Amino acid sequence: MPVRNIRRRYLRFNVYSKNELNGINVYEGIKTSIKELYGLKGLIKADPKLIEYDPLKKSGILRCTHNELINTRAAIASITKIQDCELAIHVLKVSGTIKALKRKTSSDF
Amino acid sequence: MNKYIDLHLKQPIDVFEAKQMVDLAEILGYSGVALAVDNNSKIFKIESKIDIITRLNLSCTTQKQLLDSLNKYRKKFEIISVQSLTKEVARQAAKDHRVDILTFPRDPLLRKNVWLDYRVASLAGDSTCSYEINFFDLINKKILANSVLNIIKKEVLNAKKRKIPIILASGASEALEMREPKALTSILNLIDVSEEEAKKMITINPANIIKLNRMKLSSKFVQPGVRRV
Repeated sequence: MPVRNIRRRYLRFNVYSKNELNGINVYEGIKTSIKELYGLKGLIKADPKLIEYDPLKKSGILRCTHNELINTRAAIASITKIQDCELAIHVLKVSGTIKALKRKTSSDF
Repeated sequence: MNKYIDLHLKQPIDVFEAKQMVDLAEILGYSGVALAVDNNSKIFKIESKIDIITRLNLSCTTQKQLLDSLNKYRKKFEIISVQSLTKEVARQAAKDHRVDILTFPRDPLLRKNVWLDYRVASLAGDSTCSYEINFFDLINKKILANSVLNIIKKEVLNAKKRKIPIILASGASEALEMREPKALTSILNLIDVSEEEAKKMITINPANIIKLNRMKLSSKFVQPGVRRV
């Protein structure tokens, strides 16, 4: 049976902030945080990608590599400010596929 | 299922804000939170499904000040933590059985002098107190993060050597500073603490302190090992 070379993890997150932020700002904030904590090498290893972000619900899905899940979580947790907007990002669920993640969190959304 | 406990939420002035923090803690998956006050102000009575623990943060500069405060407040709060601002206080707090949690200053310049060195750790090892890591000390960008991380790493090693229970708490003073339990455990990866160890710091260790102190504060308690039946 063929095996994928890179195993991914998909994280459903919620943004708690007083102001509104768009997906690009959130994505850039996460990338900056990973780079601050683990450097450029860490960022390349984690390979984060924003799959979707809903600015109204302030919720989104981020993809990262399986091995760097803990580092990505730590980097997300350490974000306190993006572009002078104070915020907190909470990871609600983690899954191996987008489909399973959406199924798991369907009750919340 | 793991019961996560955040032993350090600083109680805000406003009761609605405190309620908001407790509600958020429930959403994030905590089964208990400790609301902490800095002086003898009252802990708000908040109705919630999760367990709310009362905590007093003492910040002392002299040994006498610490002993007086302990005599005065020990029986009023479920948990007493001491933030040592001098070495003298750190050593007294470490050997006093009435102190539950030892914390150290956030400021790296102060922390260079007062920290969980091997002397304080050996005193604490013979006592019942625990050592607390606050999540916001690890990620505070206003201060020099790397120097604080280095000190905390050394403190964790000293605590492990002397078998002092380590507690991981958020130290949040508002809802925006709160994080989910797994975020707290993953950040300890920065100071080479494994996920399993970190999990213990936020589940078993705080639960043990609460259990012991509630037993001590109950009317049936006479002295360690003796209780009224």
